[in-house]
Amino acid sequence: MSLPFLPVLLWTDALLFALLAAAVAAGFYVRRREYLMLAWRRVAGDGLGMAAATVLALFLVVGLLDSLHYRSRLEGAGTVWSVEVESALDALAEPLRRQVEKTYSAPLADRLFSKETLERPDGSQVRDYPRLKWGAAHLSDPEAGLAGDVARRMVKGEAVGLVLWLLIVAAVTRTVARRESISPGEAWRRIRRRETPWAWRSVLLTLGVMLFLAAPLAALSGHYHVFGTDKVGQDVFFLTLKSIRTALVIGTLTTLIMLPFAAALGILAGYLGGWVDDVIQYVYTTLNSIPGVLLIAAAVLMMQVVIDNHPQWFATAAERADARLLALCFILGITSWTGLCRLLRGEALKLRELEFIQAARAFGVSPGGIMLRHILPNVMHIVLISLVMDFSGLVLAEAVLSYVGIGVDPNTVSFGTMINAARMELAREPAVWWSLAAAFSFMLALVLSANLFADSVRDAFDPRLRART
Amino acid sequence: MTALLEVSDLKVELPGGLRPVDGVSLAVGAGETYALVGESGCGKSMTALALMRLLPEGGGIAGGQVLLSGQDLRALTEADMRRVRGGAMAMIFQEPATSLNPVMPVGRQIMEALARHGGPGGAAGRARAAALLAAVGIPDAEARLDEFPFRLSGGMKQRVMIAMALAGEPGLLVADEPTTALDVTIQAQVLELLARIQRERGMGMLLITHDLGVVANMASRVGVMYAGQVVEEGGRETFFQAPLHPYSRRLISALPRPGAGRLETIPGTVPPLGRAFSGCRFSERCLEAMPRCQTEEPAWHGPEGGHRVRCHLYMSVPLACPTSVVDAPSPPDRGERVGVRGIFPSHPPSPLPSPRTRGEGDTLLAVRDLQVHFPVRKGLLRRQVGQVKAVDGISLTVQAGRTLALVGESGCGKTTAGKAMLRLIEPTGGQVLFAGEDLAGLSGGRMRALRAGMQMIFQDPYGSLDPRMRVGDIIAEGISALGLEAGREARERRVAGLLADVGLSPEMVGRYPHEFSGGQRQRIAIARALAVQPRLLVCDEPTSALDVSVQAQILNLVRELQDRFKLGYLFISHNLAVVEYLAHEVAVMYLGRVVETGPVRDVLSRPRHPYTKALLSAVPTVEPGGRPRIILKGDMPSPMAPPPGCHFHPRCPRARPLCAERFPEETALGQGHKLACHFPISG
Repeated sequence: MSLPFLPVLLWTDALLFALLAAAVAAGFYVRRREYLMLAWRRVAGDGLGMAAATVLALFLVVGLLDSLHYRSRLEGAGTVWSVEVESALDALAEPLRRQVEKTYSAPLADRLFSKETLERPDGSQVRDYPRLKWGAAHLSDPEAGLAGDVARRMVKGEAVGLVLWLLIVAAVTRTVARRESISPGEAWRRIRRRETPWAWRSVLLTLGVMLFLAAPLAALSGHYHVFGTDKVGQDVFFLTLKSIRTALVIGTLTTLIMLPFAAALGILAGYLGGWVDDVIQYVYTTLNSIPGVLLIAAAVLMMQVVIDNHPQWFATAAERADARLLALCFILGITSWTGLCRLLRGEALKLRELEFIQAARAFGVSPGGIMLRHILPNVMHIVLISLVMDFSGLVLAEAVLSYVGIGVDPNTVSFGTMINAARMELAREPAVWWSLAAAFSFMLALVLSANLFADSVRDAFDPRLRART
Repeated sequence: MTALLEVSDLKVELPGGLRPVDGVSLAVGAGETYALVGESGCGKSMTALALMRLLPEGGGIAGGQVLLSGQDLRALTEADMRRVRGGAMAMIFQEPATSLNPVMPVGRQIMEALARHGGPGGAAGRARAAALLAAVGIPDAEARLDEFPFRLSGGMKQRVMIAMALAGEPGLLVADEPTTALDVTIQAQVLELLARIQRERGMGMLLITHDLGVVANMASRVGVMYAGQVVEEGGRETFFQAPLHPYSRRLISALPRPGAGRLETIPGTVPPLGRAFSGCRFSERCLEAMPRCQTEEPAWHGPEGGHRVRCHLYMSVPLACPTSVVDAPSPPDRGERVGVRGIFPSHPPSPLPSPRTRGEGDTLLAVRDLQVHFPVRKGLLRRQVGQVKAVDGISLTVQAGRTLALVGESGCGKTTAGKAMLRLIEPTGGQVLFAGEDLAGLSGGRMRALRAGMQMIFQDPYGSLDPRMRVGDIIAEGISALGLEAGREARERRVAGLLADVGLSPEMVGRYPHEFSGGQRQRIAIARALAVQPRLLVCDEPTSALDVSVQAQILNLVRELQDRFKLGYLFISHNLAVVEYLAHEVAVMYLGRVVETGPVRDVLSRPRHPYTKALLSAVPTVEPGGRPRIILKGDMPSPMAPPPGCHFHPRCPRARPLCAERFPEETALGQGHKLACHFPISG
């Protein structure tokens, strides 16, 4: 077997893909249960929710591409693998990753942001803004040609984007037509008028807007730094793309870790009551009364010492950074289960008194059986809703923690580290605003769409809202 | 008589094309009580809300006219309408617990209503509020003004609600099921209060209820609603002497009566509101339906303002005017199914053996001195500061094939007692012998084995089935939990058989509970209990959440199953009519103790305990010239601090000093009739 690369499965990759597999499995489970299907169909019919889901899905694709890690073969060295762990996203955005400038440069600039002493061909020295090594390097006279070149490339990009969008529209129309056995024309009419059971119009519109924004970015990024470069000359657009995975990992894995705690302890406390309830309540009340950042800081610093003292555990720097990211997920998870736990305890307390639980007890069903078969399925909607709602909170928490310096490894790119760097950049004169702006707008899009999607899910599962409409 | 309220052809539309009210016309005169009666889902409450213009969001009045003292309510602006609400027309709701603001003293709430309708403020307003509270029979009204609603009992809260409704001196009172959430003795108090206030103030009242007994006691005119329409209308006497519409007749004959055989039932359920109708709305469930009923909507027959009906049966029959109702003509082609003269249809001989002739079974369950006390804990260290004696030493026996009814008002401990017998709640003391074995000290394994023998049917058919499980799994749960049937196929066969036993189709195993109506759900709950072949069933108010016609179906089923499987029933109920119909023995509970027990016929026809007698007299009944009513004073005391001596003495009309000193010993009167009273009513 002679693959040109060695696949690397980092811990967070494995967990992320396991989560994806679980989501797919859950999808099949839901398909067989009508009442769950019904709620999800309501989500699918909600325009805003589906638009948010589309944006989330695009983020997810980027995040997953960035989770396919490998080490490439070193040239001419037989079976020696590079120490650098790369991802599929790195390979796709190879030029972005390689085209490193010396230091800051503004978006779409052809020169660096600061003056340097340059040597002229005739040997004299002059202080000026040097040309970028990569950005707009293909232009011989950027002063005259830059605006025209950018415009040309943008138009070309938009054209490709439009074609792509039309292809997607055609594909969707065909699918709808086949599913409802109607003519494509009729299907298109229904989509336009929002008469399809799924909110296809919102999905297509969102995709259109996303393509409209992304196509020029893609078209320009080969020859320009669209979002500029940071202090060490890395392309900010590339950093932003890399941050997405970190945000997704923190958002999803943390909930995965806290879920068993929250569900098991909450249901146990609510159903069993008595001293079990007392103990669990004391634990989470105590946990809640310690300032969260303090607790997390203590845990992160301890964990950092452990990682630093055992370099032999990690083959590459990426693995070490990954271990730290995973540990952060654990710490966040262990400190943030109390809210959901409290909710579930309350719900279990309520369910415990319901008559179907009493009926099960009258049959002699064991407490464990009752909790698994009767209580857990009946609180699942709360779990689901709070998972989606927690996601956005955790993405923000990562940013805050990294800003304070107790977040992810400095080598890991994340929205938090980008914002942290921006602290110094904004203090410069003139200010370097593009790192912060890029991180801010991407994080806003991610968190906003997660929130809107969570709203839509909550509405679909809330029986009170259903009764009203 | 000029009508105070005139509604003509009122139509209400809700989002989703639902039409809960579809062409209702009625008139209420001053000083008159118009009772709108019907099963749930027939549009009664929506009619009331439409009159107040308080329809749920998205709903609206789609047509018709509402005139209140000649004023068109539909033409009013919302601001003017707010003056009408509570001013010219006030409403009281079903649930007193949620109609009052819990964080505001009741006095302030009444004064707010007063101020809204131009009443006095300040000290004068306070005095007026106190006067209103006194008028609705709340003792010590001045002091009660500063109480928060949670300090008041359900009956008191409903009185406060009535006082608030009276604050604007309305000409018309709309009462939507005002006593449904209350106990019978409290219901009697509130109904009497409403009748008195109406007399004193000459108000018109639109009374909305499902309880025909309440109608028979309160109404001057009756309107029967079905699927959004009034199908029959008439004066109280004429209506109850000779109900005309097949629906009204069946509704009345579905009421349980002592000694009756199978109860009449109405097949099917009220049709969904979104449907379009081509003919008579009742035709699908009507046994007298003719071909034209399916195609042609019946018109009114009978004089306006008199006794009239919307049914094709009366097309060619001249209906008598209200004065000569006794000779109401018998509609043609009706056969001998339904008697015309009396209220009750003449029954074919009952196929079931009458309760008396059935042989005595073995003793299934013997309860001796059962106690359930709940500790009341307070403070950080959760020290016990007192206890609620929910069940305080009761002794009962249930025999195979017979029914013991446990009756009493809510809070008397009857449900707790039932659950303690199944050890769903751990008893504090006493013995529960099931088939001769004491359940108290049993280990988990032995208890599980015994659980198959005793099962429970719960009150709320919506809460007793797990909404996330399919019907088949629900019924099979007990079978697999107790390991009764090995193998999937055997289990499935058994489940199908059980569904057939309770009158459901075996194909329903794959469906979820929410797809079923209340009655069907209760059948599923019964099938689940029967699945483990119990010998004793504890039925906790199994029909109190159901409509009359569905209640009849379930009662019939419960009786049939008893005959087939020789089940022993412990039937917990507050509905004495059901008890009279179903039970062989009865035990009357008051505040955790049994005050009178014995054969149903003895206890309920010749009650010896003053409480039993008051309880019986408080039940509103449709029979003409029912029992004279005894209205008890006050509410049931809290079981945390029961009164010394006989628990009943503070409310007892016969109480003497001795009653406050010690609890009376149980005395046997023969034939199993036992009594705990110092001064029993002489039989």
